[in-house]
Amino acid sequence: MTITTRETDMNERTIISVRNLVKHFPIETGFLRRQVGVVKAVDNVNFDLNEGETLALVGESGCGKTTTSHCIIQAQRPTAGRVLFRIGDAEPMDLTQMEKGELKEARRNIRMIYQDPYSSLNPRMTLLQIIGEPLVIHRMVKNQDDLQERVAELLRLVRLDPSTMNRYPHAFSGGQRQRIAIARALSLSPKVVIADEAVSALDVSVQAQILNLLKELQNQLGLTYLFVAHNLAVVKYEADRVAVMYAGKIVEIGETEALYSNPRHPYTEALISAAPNPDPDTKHRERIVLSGEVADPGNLPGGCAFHPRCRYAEDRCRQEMPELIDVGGNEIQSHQAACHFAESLELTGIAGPTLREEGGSA
Amino acid sequence: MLLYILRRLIVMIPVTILISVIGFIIIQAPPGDFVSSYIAGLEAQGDIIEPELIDSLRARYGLGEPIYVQYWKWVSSFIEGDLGYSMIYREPVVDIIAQRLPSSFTISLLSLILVYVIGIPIGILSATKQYSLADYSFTVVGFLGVATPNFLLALVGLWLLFKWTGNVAIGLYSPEMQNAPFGLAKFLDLVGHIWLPALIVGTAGTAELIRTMRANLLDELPKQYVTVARARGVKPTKLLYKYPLRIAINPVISTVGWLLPVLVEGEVLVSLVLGLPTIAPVLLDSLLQQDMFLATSIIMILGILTLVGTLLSDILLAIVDPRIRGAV
Amino acid sequence: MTGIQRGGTAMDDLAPPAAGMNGALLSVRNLQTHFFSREGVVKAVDGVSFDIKPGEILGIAGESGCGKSVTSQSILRILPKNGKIVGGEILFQNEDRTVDLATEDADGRVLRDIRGKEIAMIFQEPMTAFSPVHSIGDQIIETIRIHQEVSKEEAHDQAVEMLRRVGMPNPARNIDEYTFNLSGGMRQRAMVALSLSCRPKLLIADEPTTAVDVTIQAQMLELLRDIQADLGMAIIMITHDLGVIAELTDRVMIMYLGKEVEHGTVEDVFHRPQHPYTRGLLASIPKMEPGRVEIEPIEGVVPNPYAMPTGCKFHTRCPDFIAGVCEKHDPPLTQVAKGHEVSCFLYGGRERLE
Repeated sequence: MTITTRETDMNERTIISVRNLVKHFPIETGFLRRQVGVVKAVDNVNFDLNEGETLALVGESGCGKTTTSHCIIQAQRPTAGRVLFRIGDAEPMDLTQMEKGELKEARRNIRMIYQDPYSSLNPRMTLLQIIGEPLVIHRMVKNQDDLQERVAELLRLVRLDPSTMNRYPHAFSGGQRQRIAIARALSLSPKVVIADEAVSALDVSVQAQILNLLKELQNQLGLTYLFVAHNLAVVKYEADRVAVMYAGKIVEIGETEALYSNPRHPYTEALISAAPNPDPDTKHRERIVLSGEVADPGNLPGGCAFHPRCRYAEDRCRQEMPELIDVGGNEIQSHQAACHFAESLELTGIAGPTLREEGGSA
Repeated sequence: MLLYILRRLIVMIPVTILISVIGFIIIQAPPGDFVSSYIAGLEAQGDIIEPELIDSLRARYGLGEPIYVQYWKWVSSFIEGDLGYSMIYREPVVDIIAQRLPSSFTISLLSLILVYVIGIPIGILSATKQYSLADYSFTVVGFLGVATPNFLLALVGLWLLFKWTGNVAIGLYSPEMQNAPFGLAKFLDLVGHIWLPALIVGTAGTAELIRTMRANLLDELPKQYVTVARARGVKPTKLLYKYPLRIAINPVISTVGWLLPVLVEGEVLVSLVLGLPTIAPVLLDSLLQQDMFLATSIIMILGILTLVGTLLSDILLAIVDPRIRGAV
Repeated sequence: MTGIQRGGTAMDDLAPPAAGMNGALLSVRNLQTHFFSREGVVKAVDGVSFDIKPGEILGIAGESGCGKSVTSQSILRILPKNGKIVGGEILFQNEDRTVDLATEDADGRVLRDIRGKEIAMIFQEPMTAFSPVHSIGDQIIETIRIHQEVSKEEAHDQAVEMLRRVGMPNPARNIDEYTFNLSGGMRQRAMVALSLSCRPKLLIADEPTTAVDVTIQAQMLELLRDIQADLGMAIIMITHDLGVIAELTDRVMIMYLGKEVEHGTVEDVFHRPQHPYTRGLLASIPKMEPGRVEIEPIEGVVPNPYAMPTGCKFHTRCPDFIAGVCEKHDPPLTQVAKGHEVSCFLYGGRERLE
């Protein structure tokens, strides 16, 4: 048994490997639908999702995090690149090359949870139907009794009362609906769950319940999460590793504590600085307020896409696009940033500038 | 904006051609041609037709030649303004249309005005006083209006008129005015007669407009910009007219063009029932008797009117809505 | 202050209201706003009192359904049709007289003159705050001309000046733009300019940063801070985001199901939270601090608004629930430190029950 297979380049812990993923949308105009440009929603994204970990994709709206997740489950077909998925010791499969019918097994193993628990559940279906539907579609149950038993088990798993399985979603609060959505996602015993802003619409007290539930389920079932979110504090709590996206690219990726206390990309630094903290003592600290707005992925600035908002930008940043390079970390957890000056800049993380250690991983 | 109109005009050309082709083919579809049915008709009455006349007619319109040649001959004379000759009326088509189109147009236009004048205020009232007695009453009336066929209304109108005045035919003019030169007196006479058909033709449209207006306004009223305007100290009346109404009315404006053919269609049956000298009965006759030139000409004219109406609506919409103006 | 005002009798109403204002710009007393629908009555705001002084920044925080937005809508009397103020006073110090906004005609002269001029509001969604078919300048100029007797040209100049103040890149051109042409951040700024166009004494900001990205939120908070320092108006910041409260406000009131549970300076409330709900809320927020900081959610679900719990509204989820007391009685506001009040039986009020 080799640790890496050459042609797929997958680490033995890796369950999903995203390679050079690109998703472009044409901009068309006029009567003849002439293509005048391209929206680079996802532009050469690479990362590995390791078994049992939580990797967060974080960034502001339009950064490509949701499109990336859609390209992984092939809800949107990528323009280029590969999405390698491996179940157990089997040969990895490239989901981008598979026909709809062939994707069935992959889709059984990679499930999604969405942001809005109000619109993602069909109001005309009972919990039994909602949660049981994937089981029926994938012929995972023998009969109605089997189905009910399995759904009851799933409801207990997400801490809902199994006796409510014949009710409709409107009888439940936002947090409970998100539990229902999780139960549905887990019904096929998937390996990977993609949570797309799964707690963003919830009130904080309920959000905390769901965050903890997701963690418990991960420990209990050995799940792997791709956690797509914009809230940095939530991501810090939930994720083992974080990938920060800006304008369709990953600008920094690394182990959570290392990335938060020792950011190596100015955009990460600004995001951390801007995140409001419920502590009045931090009120008077100097925040980095980025000027301008997120780059338009249909009309990206040359060089580093972040340069117009970057307070450290120099001529090189306007001309040359930075590659994602290693900036520290260790053999197990690498820390990479796409900034020409990642090695030299003194950036401030959550603990303030003093905590900076060389190659720091906490 | 100019570019937009120009582009729309260019798009209209192939559509117009398409209408003419389809119209032409459909009317040509039944076996035989109008000359044969014309001759058959005359012979049935014992008339003798001179072979020279038949031949010249056939030659002129290219009958017997392939259909695309016939089409081409018809189109080229249509463009020159020669709409051909009507067999049933034995008059040039241009003359028939010239006599009848104005009345059709007047009725349709008047209906349109009535539809808007009645429909919009009632729609607003229904929306602002949602679930009030007035709203419920207009809702019932509105649904009845949509559900009742116009010709039935026409029959009822006719019967009521007969009950009150003893007249059977409505017509557009009183008998003594029929041949009078057009002047103020004749115009007033026309106004006195035309309101009933206009009202009947417009009923369904009005009912529909009330519903549309009500729904659009109800969509807009709870929107945040209305609350914001209120929170800025804008007066309640202005709050209704300047903001939500302005937006609610956009789709109404954009359907002016589509209403035109609907009104013409409604007018056909109503005019038949009421015996009005409009273009509608002529269209029906011409279709029934395969009077090719008359029928195709009328269809062409109606088609072009619809296109023009749609274009006008789109231009109007672009003028009132900057979002569309920005996109064109 | 508020504890004494609670449950005022008819005698109090007869006294000239100005007497009790204590230098406050706005004094909300025992406000009750209910919503009436076929399903029943929702007591969205159920006896809330607070004061705000000129130039002060007050935060009102709570989760959805706590009544924070309804409180702000009550102040400006822009409640939805089925919402009614059924009790309490909203005293506003307008020039040298005191007006009770709760009893004025909602669309009458007095309120219309106050709206936009004395009290202005900014909303969550800047995209929908402007009419999509009117330019932003049209709406700003309109507001100026409703409240000031100035010519169109003068109002135009004032509007351009306000757009410049809020940091629009090209005010003279931006004024003729429509919201759909502006980026998210520019829309936010335009909305602030609209609400501040008449230099109000009080600005109510209802979740102004909820719908925007974190870098735009930071810009918005910076803008509000700068413009407050510049124009000196009082601000009521309504939000569910305790981070925003900590960042911007001087004092905070925490609400739960239409009731005030705790209020005090942000330092008091965030560093020494007393009410079990406030403590639970703070414990459930993930922190931007180094190391693993566990979060503890508040157990249970927010009760159905049509079947509100008796007694203390929080007792169904409270870890410190006192059986026989909390589910039976409404806890009074108790002062735990100067200017720090809590409505919870843990801090007193039980002795008065007998």
